[in-house]
Amino acid sequence: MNNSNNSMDMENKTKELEILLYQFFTLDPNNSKRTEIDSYLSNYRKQKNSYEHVKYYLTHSTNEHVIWFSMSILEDKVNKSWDTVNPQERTGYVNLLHEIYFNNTKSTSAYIVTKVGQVLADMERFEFLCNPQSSQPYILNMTNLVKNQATSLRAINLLQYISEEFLTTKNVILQEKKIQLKKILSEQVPTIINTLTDYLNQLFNQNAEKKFKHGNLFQNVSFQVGSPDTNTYTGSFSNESKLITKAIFDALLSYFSWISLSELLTPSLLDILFKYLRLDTNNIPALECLNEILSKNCVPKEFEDFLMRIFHQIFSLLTDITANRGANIHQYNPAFLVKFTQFIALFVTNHLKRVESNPNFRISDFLSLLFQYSFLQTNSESFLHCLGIWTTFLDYLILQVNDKGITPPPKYTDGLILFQSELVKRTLFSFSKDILSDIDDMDNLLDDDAEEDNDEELIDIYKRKCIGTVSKVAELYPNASLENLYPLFTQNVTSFFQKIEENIKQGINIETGDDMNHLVSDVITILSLFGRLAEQFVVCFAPTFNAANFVFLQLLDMCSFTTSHNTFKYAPVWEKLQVQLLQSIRSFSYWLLEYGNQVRTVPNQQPEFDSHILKIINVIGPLFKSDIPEEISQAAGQLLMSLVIVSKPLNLFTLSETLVTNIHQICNPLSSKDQSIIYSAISCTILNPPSSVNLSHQWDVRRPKYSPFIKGITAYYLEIPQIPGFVENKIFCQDDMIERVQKILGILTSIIKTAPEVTTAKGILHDAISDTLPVTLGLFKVYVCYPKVLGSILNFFFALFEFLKTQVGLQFTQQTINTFLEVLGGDNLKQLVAESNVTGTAIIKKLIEILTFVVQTSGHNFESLLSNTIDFSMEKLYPIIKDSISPIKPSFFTLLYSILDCQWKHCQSEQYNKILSAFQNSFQQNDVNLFKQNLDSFEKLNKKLNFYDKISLMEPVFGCSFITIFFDLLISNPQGIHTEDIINTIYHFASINFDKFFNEFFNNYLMSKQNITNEQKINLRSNVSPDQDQPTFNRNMLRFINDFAYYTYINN
Amino acid sequence: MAEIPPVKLVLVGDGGVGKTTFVQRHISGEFETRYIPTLGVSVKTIAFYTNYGKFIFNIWDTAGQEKFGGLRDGYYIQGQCAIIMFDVTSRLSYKNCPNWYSDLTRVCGTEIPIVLTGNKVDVKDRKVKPSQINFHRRFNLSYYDISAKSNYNFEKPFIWLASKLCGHKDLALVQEPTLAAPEVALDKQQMSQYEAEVAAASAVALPISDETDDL
Repeated sequence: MNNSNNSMDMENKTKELEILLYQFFTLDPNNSKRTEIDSYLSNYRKQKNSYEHVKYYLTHSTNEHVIWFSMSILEDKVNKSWDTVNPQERTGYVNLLHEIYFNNTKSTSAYIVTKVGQVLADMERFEFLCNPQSSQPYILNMTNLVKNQATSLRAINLLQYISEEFLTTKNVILQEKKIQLKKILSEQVPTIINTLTDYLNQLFNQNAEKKFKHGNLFQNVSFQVGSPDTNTYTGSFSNESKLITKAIFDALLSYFSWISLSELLTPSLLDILFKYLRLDTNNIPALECLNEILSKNCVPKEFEDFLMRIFHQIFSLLTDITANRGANIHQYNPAFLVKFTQFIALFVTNHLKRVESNPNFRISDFLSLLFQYSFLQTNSESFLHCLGIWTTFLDYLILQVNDKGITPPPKYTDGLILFQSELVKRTLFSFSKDILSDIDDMDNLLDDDAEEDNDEELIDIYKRKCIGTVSKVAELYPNASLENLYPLFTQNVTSFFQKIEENIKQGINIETGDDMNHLVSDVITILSLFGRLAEQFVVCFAPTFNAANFVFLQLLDMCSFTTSHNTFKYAPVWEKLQVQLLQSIRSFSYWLLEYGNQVRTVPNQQPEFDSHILKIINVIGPLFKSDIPEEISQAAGQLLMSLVIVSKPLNLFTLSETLVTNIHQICNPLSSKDQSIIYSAISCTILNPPSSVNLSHQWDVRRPKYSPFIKGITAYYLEIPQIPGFVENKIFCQDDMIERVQKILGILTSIIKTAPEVTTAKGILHDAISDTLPVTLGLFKVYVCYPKVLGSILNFFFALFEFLKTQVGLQFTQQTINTFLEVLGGDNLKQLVAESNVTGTAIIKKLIEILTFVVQTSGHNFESLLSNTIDFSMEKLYPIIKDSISPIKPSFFTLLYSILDCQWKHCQSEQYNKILSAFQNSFQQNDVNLFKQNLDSFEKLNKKLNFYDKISLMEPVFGCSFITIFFDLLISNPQGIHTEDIINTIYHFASINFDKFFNEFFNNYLMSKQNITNEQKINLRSNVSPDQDQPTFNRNMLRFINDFAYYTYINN
Repeated sequence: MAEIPPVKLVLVGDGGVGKTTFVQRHISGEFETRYIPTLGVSVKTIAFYTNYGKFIFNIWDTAGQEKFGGLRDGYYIQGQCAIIMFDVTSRLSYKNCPNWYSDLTRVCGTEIPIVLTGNKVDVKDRKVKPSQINFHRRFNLSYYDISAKSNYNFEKPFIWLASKLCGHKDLALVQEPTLAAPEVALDKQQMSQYEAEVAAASAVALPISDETDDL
């Protein structure tokens, strides 16, 4: 009766489980019932006796969810307390699972079989540890199961699970046991690898045969290819043997990831991997194993032989793939080619340096094959992967040239120049229309419906990468490259403009179809390429002068041409063309600087140089107009800026006089953004002296020009406070008034930010804007309820303090900051930092940034502001944001860090305690990013100020409590991703006094823990040796955390 | 266009790498988000409108910290695609990716599309450099730098998964996803540099030190 009751009970339980699990997986995403079920199932699994039900479920249910859940209960039991189950019962479970795993003929889903295998491996892990001697017979038995056709597949899989489960990184075994397990299994690895490779050999011999090669296939290969490694094979594997080979490779891959390959990588293992690689069915798993071996950067004893075989293999496969001008490439599985490209990449990255100068490795021939292979790739992604290999190779050569001072090897010149030419063709529609159109189509698809999208387009990324590689070749071989690329400019670009000019003259309409757009795109590409090459024109200035000068003058002429005919109106791509012209001219800034320096020694060339500069100014000037698209005007403004701050031509100030005199008239109709850029450039033109210290800075001429220039901008602004009824009649809140204030502040901020790093210049600037400062501070109070204006004002002051600190002076800084604290620290602070108030939050963030900057840069002068700042931060702001997820927090803690860092000595102990408490509190909050930021701050403070020493002096309040918090975090793991950093910090705390740490702190800490037994505590304590070197300390701590977490887990 | 049935996406990675923040960037307005950390999973629906129709992802956002809570790998059952996330400021979280991959594929098989994503690229102190990220190449995963905080590349993993699932390489969004306002602005130049580095990244293995190897 009892038995049948039990049976009924279990039958009901099984049904209930079936229903619950079904619901769990099929409920709607937002259904809260899932949570309840989850919780119920978790609790059920945690019950002490739930594992006893498993046998019933496994033998009576066919429901996959139930079987899976049973396995998961058993897995828990095995990991937590398998030792509490008597050996007989354990054997009973092993046999049951063994039976299910090996002899189950029911069509069970793969994930269930895998789970059973995994739990079997876990059980075996336990047995190996109890009785290490059992490992050898067990593995021998497994190898027999591998050889038995009926069980081979699952036995191979089980060997893989054994590798994975024994080497687990999860906290389910004590650290000591993990090390022990690795050792036990390592002893069995040669047997396992041998069994697997023997099986691979056997399958190969049964199912594959050698192919005969065509006589002419290898005619181009200039070194011995008779090696068996490069034999090719044809195979007809049954589905079953395919599955088995795949399983073997997967298992090997798992072992390769942790075993010592340099000892176990035998020639015969490489033999069989190569054989599978050269099957006509492209064995991808074999290639994956080879990639794993190469990625380990392993260097076996006979490394030259090993590398020669790998090199040989790559060489031979490349020859096959590229044969008949690539007609065979389609016979290869695309996934195989992706892996093969990785194979080459791994070889080049990890091993090329070992063999590049070894005459046995024909690198030039290899490059020629790689060249063919790369340009056979029609898909842009695969092509870019190949380009990555070239970049690695070129970077290697560049490093050799730069570091060792050797000349670039002449043996590569011709090949790389040819590569450069072909690569350029890949970026031009005239040569690679199909490829580029494909990428373009992807872009259009994305663009058509996307809203405003500032992201770089795919095609631009593609071209940028190609051009980057072209210029790497130019860096290595500048002369040959310039000679190679020069015709692109002299023929393609110039003839394009000639043709357009001709058409315009004859009144022929400019086409706007795809062909024309592609032609313009090509010109843009070539122009951007020459922009990149400008750097080489500087490096080899004299020999390339004529070419560079020609290109530069042509660029100016082309730009004038596009302006005078308003070509941007034809189509969007024409607007891009004009922007590119300006950018390419801009990239000649350093060339102009060099040119200017050369001219200084040959004064009779000065007029010609000046005429160049005047030409640029004449190109730029007409682009500051309201009917010119903003992008073009801004590019022109940036060009002027680069001319002023990079090229610094001697007579720029005189040459641009007309532009400077008329600038307000020119700028008035333009947008705020345009004005900011252009005014900043003009400000620099007046303030930035020419290069070379020997020259007169002409301050007497420059100074008088500056004040009127600034007044032209600020006149309307200075009038504001005088406007009758500005505050009383609420004129200040009218839209046009707000716009005026923001626009002028924006321009001034931009001018301040671009001020030259010259004291006199900064002084002139400060004098010119000083009358705007009290006005702006006054406006701060007026616009207290207008966050956007407040934001502009704070930006202005931040720039002022940052760039004109000395000129502004301490008194004004203090007055300003006190005003900010007073105005913003009032009742509206809470409202400003409310989570929904984005602008308000931004303002307080900006204020904190200003405070931080001033704290960091004022030294002891800040003392007078310190109390107000700490008071504002800790008494007013902190209580509001303390328990919130306010985005202000990172900046807030940076401010606290800066106070500790720079004003440590001036803090009172009460202020100091408050700040430390805030940090302590933040460490306990579940915000990983803030945690990391503050942990880093602590480390920086400790390095600079011996911060932890100071903290420990305040014990018992702080020192121990910080370490306790860190240990608690390590064990409960909410900051698991920062484990390494936390242990480092603990180490630095401990190193103040190791004795105290090991003998007092550690013991007390363990004593205070409730969730582990005394025996476990003793065990944990005895495993932590008092080693004081950091690697051992860190290892001990990792072990401590692992074992503590393990005990908590099994006690749960 | 035929309706595409919802797809189960499993989101895994170490605790704290930003999985939940990532999912919550999307304001679908269709379902309420519920986060239940103690129980180990929160399911949220996100829809994407593509040139091949509407794609609905039921995202099973599993709690990385609660490795031993809830159904754990049970959440992966019937998963049709996955995202493995790590934090580019934490080497450990990257090092654990192969474990997440292995746990996932044991349940879902190796055929499901999986994306690897490195979150928090907005943080200046990046520990896992683009050139070190190579794990994905071994298993044909796709990789994206992302920044949940700034919405950078938010949609990329989903587009890739959708295109793999439906087998159309040219799948693209026809409507931008609605995202919460970015909390930080990204340094565009830095991101372009990262992109270039990701593309040029060689397949060099991360140096693995002995002591952590045994973890």
